[in-house]
Amino acid sequence: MLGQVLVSGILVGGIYALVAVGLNIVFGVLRIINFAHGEYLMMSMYGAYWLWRMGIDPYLAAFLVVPAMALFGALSERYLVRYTLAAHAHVKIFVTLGLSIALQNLALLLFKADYLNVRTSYQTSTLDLAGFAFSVPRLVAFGALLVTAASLYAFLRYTDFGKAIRATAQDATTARLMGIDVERVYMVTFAIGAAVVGVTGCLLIPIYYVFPTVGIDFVVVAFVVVVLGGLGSIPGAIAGGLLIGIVEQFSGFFVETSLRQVVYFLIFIAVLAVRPAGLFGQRGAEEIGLK
Amino acid sequence: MLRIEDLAAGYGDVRVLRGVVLDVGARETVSLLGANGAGKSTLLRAAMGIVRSSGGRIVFKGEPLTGLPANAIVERGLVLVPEGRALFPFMSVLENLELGSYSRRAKPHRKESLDRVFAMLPRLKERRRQLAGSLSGGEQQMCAIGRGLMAMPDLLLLDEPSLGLAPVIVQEIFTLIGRLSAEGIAVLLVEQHVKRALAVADRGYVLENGSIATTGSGATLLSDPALRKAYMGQKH
Amino acid sequence: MSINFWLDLLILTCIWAGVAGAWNLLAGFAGQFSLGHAAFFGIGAYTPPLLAQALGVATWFGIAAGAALAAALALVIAGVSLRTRWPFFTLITIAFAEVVRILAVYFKGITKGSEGLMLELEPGFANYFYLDKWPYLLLAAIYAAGVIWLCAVIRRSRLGFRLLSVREDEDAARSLGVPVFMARANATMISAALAAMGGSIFGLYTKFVDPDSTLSFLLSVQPALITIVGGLGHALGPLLGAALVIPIEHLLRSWFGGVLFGLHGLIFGLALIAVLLVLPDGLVGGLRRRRGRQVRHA
Ligand SMILES: Nc1ncnc2c1ncn2[C@@H]1O[C@H](COP(=O)(O)OP(=O)(O)OP(=O)(O)O)[C@@H](O)[C@H]1O
Ligand SMILES: [Mg+2]
Repeated sequence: MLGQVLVSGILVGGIYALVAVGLNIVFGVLRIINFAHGEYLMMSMYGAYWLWRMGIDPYLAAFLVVPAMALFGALSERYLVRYTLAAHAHVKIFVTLGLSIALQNLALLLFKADYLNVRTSYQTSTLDLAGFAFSVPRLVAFGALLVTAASLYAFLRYTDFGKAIRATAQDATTARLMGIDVERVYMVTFAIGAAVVGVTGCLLIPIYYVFPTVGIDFVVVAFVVVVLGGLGSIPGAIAGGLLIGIVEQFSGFFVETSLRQVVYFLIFIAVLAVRPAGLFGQRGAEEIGLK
Repeated sequence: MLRIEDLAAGYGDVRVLRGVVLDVGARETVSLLGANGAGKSTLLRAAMGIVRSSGGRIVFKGEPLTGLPANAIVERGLVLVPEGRALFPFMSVLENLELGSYSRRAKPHRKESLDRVFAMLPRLKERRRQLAGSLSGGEQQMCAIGRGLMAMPDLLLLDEPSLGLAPVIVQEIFTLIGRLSAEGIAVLLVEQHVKRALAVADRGYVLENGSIATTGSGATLLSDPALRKAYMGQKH
Repeated sequence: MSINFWLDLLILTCIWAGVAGAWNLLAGFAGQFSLGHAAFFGIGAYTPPLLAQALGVATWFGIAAGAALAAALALVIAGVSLRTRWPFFTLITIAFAEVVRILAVYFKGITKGSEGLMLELEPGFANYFYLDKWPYLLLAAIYAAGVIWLCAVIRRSRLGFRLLSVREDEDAARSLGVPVFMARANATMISAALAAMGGSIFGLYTKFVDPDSTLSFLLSVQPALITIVGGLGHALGPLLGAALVIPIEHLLRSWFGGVLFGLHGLIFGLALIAVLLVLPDGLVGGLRRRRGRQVRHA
């Protein structure tokens, strides 16, 4: 019984980690708080949902949703976030908040507040491994997490463009002196972050309902996970996601589901108060770009 | 190689530079001197396009740089090692050096550049896995210069490379600067160590209140009243 | 339209001018952007009726208790965010406000949960409970004027000076011996207490308190929006902003609210973006710049 709870904790955690990895590249690495990140997820899920209505399997829909989201991410950087980069702190915070509110309400206007879900053959199937039941769509999501996280990690660590992203986050002016096209870095990073969210949306739609404010629930957990794991750290995001998933499934025994978010928030607050660098973050690195 | 004509620049409403005229020839080493706040760093930043110039022209290898962003200027072979090193503290020495050769111009030659920089600055090779932020001040400056060299500059702008360093290290750095012209690299050096700077340079300029007050060879400048005024109280 | 419509508008404008003024004290002066003022507002709204129910005390005690409770929460928030920089303060305030909201929904035994509380108090001055709207206009106007006056005083006080120095450069302020934490904690507590009073007045006036109308995240955005529209960091900014935003919201809601779900919020979000990009220093800043330009032309 406890083993099964652990299994479902890990699988749920995998989903949280996946959302967090997408957030981590923009918030953790680039240090831009994009409040609309959750709405990117909402859009991806609606995209996968409507493609399913048109007869396309959600997993195949990723081939359309991911490029579309990458484009949307790039556009929202180019035509919105860019104007805030050199602006006062309040402009930075509230512009993406405005975008988030606008997108949520646009979805409400277009799709009403209904909870929508897809129906697939594999939706409820489970795999029996070592005596535990693994839900197939969650297992797929977990596999995608590992692949996405590993490629992002390698990309950030070993490629020149990945290094350029990290350099830009640490000191944009000096990055420019290295010959880095800083504007391009910002735009591409947003595109990558949104593309990861696009993948996530397609993997989530066989598991969860989509509705206009679905992004909020996930983005809240994602912020907690990123801070817990350490800003900018991909292994941290995975560890943080799994930890939160496991804590959530076990705490389901003790506290009611309606109090679940209180647990997240308290973890979030405790980490920031005690160790702002998070579990895997470099000490002091949490202040990058903020002094 | 670099020609600055009648340059005006500043921050917001504050004018820092006006009517600055300066040139640096190929393979030449030129010192730019001046009191604190005279505008030396501003001049270098304006040349790199980090500070917008509001008048005049900056011409590099025969082409005007006006309006180009710094990353495009680096591609043309004009490279700045900024004041205070400005390393990427949470990246390793090696990563910092690699970023130095990020430009399309330098990237294909990264391997040779790295060997050359490690040969010139062997300390960096030992420390290549260490985080740049945890280097000593002298090592950081070496790393910053090494990073500048990785960009394969035709003209290297150095902003106070000896700032805050012990005399031994200062000596090392000046020796290194002296070797650059042999490598075919022109240098525009901003320094507070007036005598050393003029000894290593072919010529010098003195910047006073945002414009060039005097120019000439080392010997002429050392006896110049404008320079004495700028460094009054300094025993050089 | 009836006199009641206009009274309603005026009262809400005054209340929100005051709450926004409280937010401005922290955001505009100290550079700390809270997105958790709904917690203070809600605590202010809930405390008087709950205390009246439980202990039978008069509303005035309830208002004071609500302000004290909000200030205590603010102290915790300031303590927790001690080691972090500005965007994390914002995230921490969001987290605290959500915790308060969820708990208010959860503890149904006390708060009636999402159903909400109807206020049924003994009419009269002790409870400030009237059927007429006029007394509330008086109270709200005094509240708004009081907040704005207090902000103007603080701005010129030593605390105000310290807050500005923290806003401009926290590290420099600290190295010059400014007690950064104390200044910040004081500002957060004063701001919270003032916002709570606004919540109390709102609850008394609407005679109904529930999580949606007093604790939701949008209520944390509201004072920010108002202040930014009016002019962040200017004592009169919140008043100007409220005088513009509240009537417009009222009209939008009465035009589209029932018909096109979401249109009101869509306009709200787009307006926020537009104001920030076009007039980042708000109406006050815009007016000043304009005047400055005219002077220079002359
Ligand atoms: N970012 C900035 N914003 C506003 N003013 C600046 C800025 N940077 C420099 N200044 C001002 O411009 C003037 C010239 O500064 P600059 O850094 O160019 O001087 P400098 O000659 O390099 O001095 P030092 O020898 O101390 O490095 C100074 O008065 C300085 O206060
Ligand atoms: Mg300087």
